[in-house]
Amino acid sequence: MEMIELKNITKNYGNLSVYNNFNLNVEKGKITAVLGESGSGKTTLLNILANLTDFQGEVIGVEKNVAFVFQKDRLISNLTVGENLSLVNPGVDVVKTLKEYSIADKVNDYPKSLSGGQARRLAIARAFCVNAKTVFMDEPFINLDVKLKFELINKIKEKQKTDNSTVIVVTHDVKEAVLIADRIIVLSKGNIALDVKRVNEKTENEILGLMINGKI
Amino acid sequence: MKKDKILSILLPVITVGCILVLWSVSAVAVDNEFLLPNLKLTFTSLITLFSSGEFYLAFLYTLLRSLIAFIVSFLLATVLAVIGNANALAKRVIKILISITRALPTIAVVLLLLFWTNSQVAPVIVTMLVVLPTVYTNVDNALNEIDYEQLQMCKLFNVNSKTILTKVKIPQIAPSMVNAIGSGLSLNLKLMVAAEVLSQTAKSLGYMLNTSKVYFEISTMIAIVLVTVIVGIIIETVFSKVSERLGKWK
Repeated sequence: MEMIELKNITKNYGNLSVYNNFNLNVEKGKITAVLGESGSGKTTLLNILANLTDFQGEVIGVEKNVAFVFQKDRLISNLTVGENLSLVNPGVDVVKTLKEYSIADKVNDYPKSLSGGQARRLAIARAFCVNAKTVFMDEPFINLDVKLKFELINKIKEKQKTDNSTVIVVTHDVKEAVLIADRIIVLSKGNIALDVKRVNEKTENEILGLMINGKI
Repeated sequence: MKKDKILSILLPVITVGCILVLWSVSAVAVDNEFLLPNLKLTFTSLITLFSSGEFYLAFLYTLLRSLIAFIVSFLLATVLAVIGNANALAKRVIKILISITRALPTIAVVLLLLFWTNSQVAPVIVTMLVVLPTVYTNVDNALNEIDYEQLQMCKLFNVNSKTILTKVKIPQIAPSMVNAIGSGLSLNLKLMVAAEVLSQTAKSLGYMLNTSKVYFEISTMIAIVLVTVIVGIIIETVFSKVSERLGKWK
């Protein structure tokens, strides 16, 4: 089984240590959710994996072509919805891709005119239109209504299966993690507090129970 | 929206109308055409001015000097702003240099430049120096309009540097840059006329202004000022409209 490996990762922000000799293996071709409270190092972990921040240690197995759904959508404000897609993949069938995410009618609009949900759809469409083998997602469902959240979770699962890509999703919502992931890692103060390798219908209650009892 | 559009046309017309009424009333009250000529006299001077070849020559030369001063100032400001954005220490040094330039006493500089150069070159250099701090600030602000999180996203998605430059960086700074050029050119023209007056530059609006002053042709002086103001407003308006068009995504 191919793996993405993080070896002896140490990351500090000034005097604040986020990770100290942290190790993790993530199975390729699966969806892994990283759960944790604010400040537990979730976003930092994605930034390390995507090489967006300095760190000590080693990351093995991440291909050059990766995609990222950022917490803020980071859509290019001066490009239309369609141009935002063709910027990252000039050969993409823009209208077909936007249709898949139900925003084809916005193809010539600028991002400022999109609702939060539409912008998120576009950010996710952009991440999957480049056919990257690894997709990182930082709180992709934050501030979305329940219906859209479920719709996007299904879409991401479908795309991941089709592309056989590795998806690493950071979230603070246990339900989201359970619904989307094959494996759930709970982070606490820069360490793995819980590693659920087989997610099933009992996982949500188990994690919530441990959280309520202060065990993680 | 429609109300806003009507207001944007009506307000300048009403404002200019009020100024003209105030001017007419003041001219009647003063009742001395050497101190404050009335509208009719000024308008006649304007027509006389427009029918003289000397005016067009002076106007063209003033515009040309203005343009040269602005281009040099703009290029210098852009180079300094780019260097400053690439290196924090350089930015601090540039800020000191800009502060010194801003503090330069204009008249003293003109007088010095008249010693070192001639009356054709001195206004160009002094205008360039006076305008530089403002242009630098505007260009620096325009460069800061680039969203660095969006650039990071582009790099992560392997968008090539040329595409980032042409599709992201330039379009993002263009509206502010064009606006900065418009207001800079307008300011430049006003400063150039002032510098030409001080330098006694031949073939210039400043020289014509000075000659009119010597011969008490107040209406001609006001006509020249009017031309300068109108040209300045036209430049600013055109560039502002272009900037609006370029920034329709904002």
